[in-house]
Amino acid sequence: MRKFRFLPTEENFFELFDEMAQVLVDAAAALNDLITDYQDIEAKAHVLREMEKRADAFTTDICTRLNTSFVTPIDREDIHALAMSMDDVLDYIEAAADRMKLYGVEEPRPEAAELSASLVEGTKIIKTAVAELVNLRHIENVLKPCVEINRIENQADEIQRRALARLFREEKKPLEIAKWQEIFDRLETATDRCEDVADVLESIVVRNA
Amino acid sequence: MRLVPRQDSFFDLFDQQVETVNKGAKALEDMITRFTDIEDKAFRIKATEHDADEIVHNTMRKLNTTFVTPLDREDIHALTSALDDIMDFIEAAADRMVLYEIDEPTEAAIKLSQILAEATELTRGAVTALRDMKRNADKIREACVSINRLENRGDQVNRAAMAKLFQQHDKPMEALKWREIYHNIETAIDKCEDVADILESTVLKNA
Repeated sequence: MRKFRFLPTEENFFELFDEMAQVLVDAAAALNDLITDYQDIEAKAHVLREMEKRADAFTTDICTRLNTSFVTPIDREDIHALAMSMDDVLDYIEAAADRMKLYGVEEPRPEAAELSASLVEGTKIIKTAVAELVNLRHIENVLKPCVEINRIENQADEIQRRALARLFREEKKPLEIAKWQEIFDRLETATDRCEDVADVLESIVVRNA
Repeated sequence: MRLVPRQDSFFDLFDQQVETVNKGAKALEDMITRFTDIEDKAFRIKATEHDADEIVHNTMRKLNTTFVTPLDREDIHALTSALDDIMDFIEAAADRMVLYEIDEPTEAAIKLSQILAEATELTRGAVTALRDMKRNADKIREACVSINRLENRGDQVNRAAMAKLFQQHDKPMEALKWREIYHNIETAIDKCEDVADILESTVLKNA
């Protein structure tokens, strides 16, 4: 027999976060595919645009439920901050794909693939950490992945640095430089946003431990 | 005699971190205005950034193992993260000067680095005053107002500099390099404002 619940269920938020984390993982994989198998760009960028809309819908859904929930498993502002920070990651992933399409990039520079690989790794780790949120008794299971995400961000920083050095050294057309400066910036900022998700996660577990 | 090793308090850690950030901003100002030993100076700023990272790490570890904290946990976390952001953008600006083989500074870069150094000095004053928040509430608030003013000035300098850059059609590569450097310094100043916002709300809650 189903237990009668006096209070509304709490686990919905965690389920929503898990699903949203999966969207991030899928989007990073789609971006990586776009860059490493550079064809049908229009179609691939379109798929990413759709994913970004899905993430937006999740964020809206989370905010709506937040307004109608009487009790929340973690602080309201944390739920809000987490949803927003995850949404930000997707915005930059989508922006990177969009710029490549928009600027008519003919062939991605190799460092773009390195950065998208970092994003694949980073979003997978976010998913692991988010899945552990439901059990705040083992905060190490959230904190350890957060350290990993920081490491990936540092690594992406180095990749971007190397990419820019080579870009200015080898590329002679200023407009090409301007395009790639922006694309690299979007890719690297996406990893910064992964770090912001880690910051929110850290702050949640630290406070609720 | 001490039975247990002395442990730094959260305020000690904030002091260390904001000192480091201020040191980094001063080093960047020196690097850009005097423009000597660029590589060496950038290397030292990178080392300073590593020191700052270490302090963030210590603060987080302490936060995870401390039961009663002198400020709200989320404020401690937010403050240490925001200070870290300032340092990251200082380091990025210094790094790009070397990476892009800049051979002379622009007036706008000098001005922006000075505004940043002034902003981190104010940030240092405000953060170190946190320890005695009740007595220093006014002092902290005043510093926050001044930081906001500096951020506005940084914005203006940046905008004017960008307009000038893109009017010089003969050196597009230089424009692209400087755009990124200005952006990094300007963002570091923005992050000082983020610290000020956190301090204001902390003071409001606790003083």
